[in-house]
Amino acid sequence: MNKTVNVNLAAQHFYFDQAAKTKLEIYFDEIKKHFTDEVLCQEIMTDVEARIAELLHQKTTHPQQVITIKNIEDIIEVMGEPNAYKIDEEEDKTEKTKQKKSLRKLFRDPDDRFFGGVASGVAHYFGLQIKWVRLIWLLLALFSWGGFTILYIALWVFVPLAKTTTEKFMMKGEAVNLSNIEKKIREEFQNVTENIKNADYKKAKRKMKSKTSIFFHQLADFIMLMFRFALKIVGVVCVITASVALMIILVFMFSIGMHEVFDVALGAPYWPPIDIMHMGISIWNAVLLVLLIIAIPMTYIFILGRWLITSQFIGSIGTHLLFLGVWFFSILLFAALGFRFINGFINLH
Amino acid sequence: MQVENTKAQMRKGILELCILSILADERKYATEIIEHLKDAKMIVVEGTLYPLLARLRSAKFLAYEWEESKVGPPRKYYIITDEGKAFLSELTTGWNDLQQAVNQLTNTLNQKT
Repeated sequence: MNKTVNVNLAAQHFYFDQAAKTKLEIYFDEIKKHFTDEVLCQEIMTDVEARIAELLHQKTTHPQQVITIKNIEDIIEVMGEPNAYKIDEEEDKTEKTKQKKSLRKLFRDPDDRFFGGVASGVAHYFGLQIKWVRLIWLLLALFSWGGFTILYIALWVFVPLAKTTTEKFMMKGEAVNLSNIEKKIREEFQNVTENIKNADYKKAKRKMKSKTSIFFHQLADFIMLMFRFALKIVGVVCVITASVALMIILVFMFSIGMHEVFDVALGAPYWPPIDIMHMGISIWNAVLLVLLIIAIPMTYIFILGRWLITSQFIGSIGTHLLFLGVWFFSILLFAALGFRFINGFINLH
Repeated sequence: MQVENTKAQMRKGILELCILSILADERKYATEIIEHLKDAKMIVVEGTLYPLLARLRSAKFLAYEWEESKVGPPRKYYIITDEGKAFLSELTTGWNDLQQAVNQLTNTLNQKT
């Protein structure tokens, strides 16, 4: 005794054997794999469905007849194996669009480098000319009293070198702009909503079967799905917050650096009017220290957020340990300085 | 290299020309197009046709319209567009040239041997 299912092909109703339905589903999925263009694929599948419905009508003598796996095999014989749908030219195109689809990624360029290939990588990423990026780096590094060198080193450590051809292609891939990012998020969202839709469908099925175990399975799936979606949102929030914070820190560094450069050049007194000598350190260094203490956790919030979105974690254990070390050292140094500052303050009064 | 495979490749290249020719005089729906192609032994399995139809449609060489059918569900009739006609005439010229070229080559070689 076999179970039959209701199947709708090109808006026509059929009774399918469960096995026959599965066979046809697999066949459709295999065909779809050959087409990346959503609209084209939809159109082709509409035609194919209509034709299969027609063929099935010819094969069945009365509407109540159940479609068996044998019928489907006959259909596939007439229609051809999935790779019969392949258009040679299409295949090349598919590959190209696939590569095009991958968003540009930040890599260091090994073929065109001065130090670590950071500047050339950044130039590829933003589609700028390398010489301008290098000039900007140089100016930023000068005006921030070397503050930007830290960023350079961070990029050097965190950004991977483009080793393979694919990576090099990705380095120069499709530009990262707002519409692309929007597209990515929309795709992601579509996946999630589709899953939710499927979950709803499963829930409906559960009602018919009214088996509690299945209900709890579906519920667990659903909760898991929502949980994952929530994590992604948390990830986005993390990335945005950390990016803004890091940006502010960089701007701050830059302005303090400028201040130092010009004030020292003009021979103006130090700002703020605290006796720096009591701390035994220039205000710039102190600020740098504070910023470092904030910037490292922010960087990790960013990496964490990115990990939640893409499930890719960047950086090796060595670099993580190094950053942890630098961070602890900064805190210790800051504590020591604070102690000294308070001491100096007390001595003053 | 298999003979069948090479033959299939040969046919594939001129399928577009054939499809447009079939539709040149009157609109037809997919099954009719398939019957023509199968009669002429241009295709073995039907699957080959649908991607081509979709591609010709997206290139605006073909258009389609739905029409109610007395015997079954609505049918999707394919119609050749003006651009499609222009494309067809170019393909026909190309095919004639190719045919001539191939004939010339194979004939001279045959005469030598």
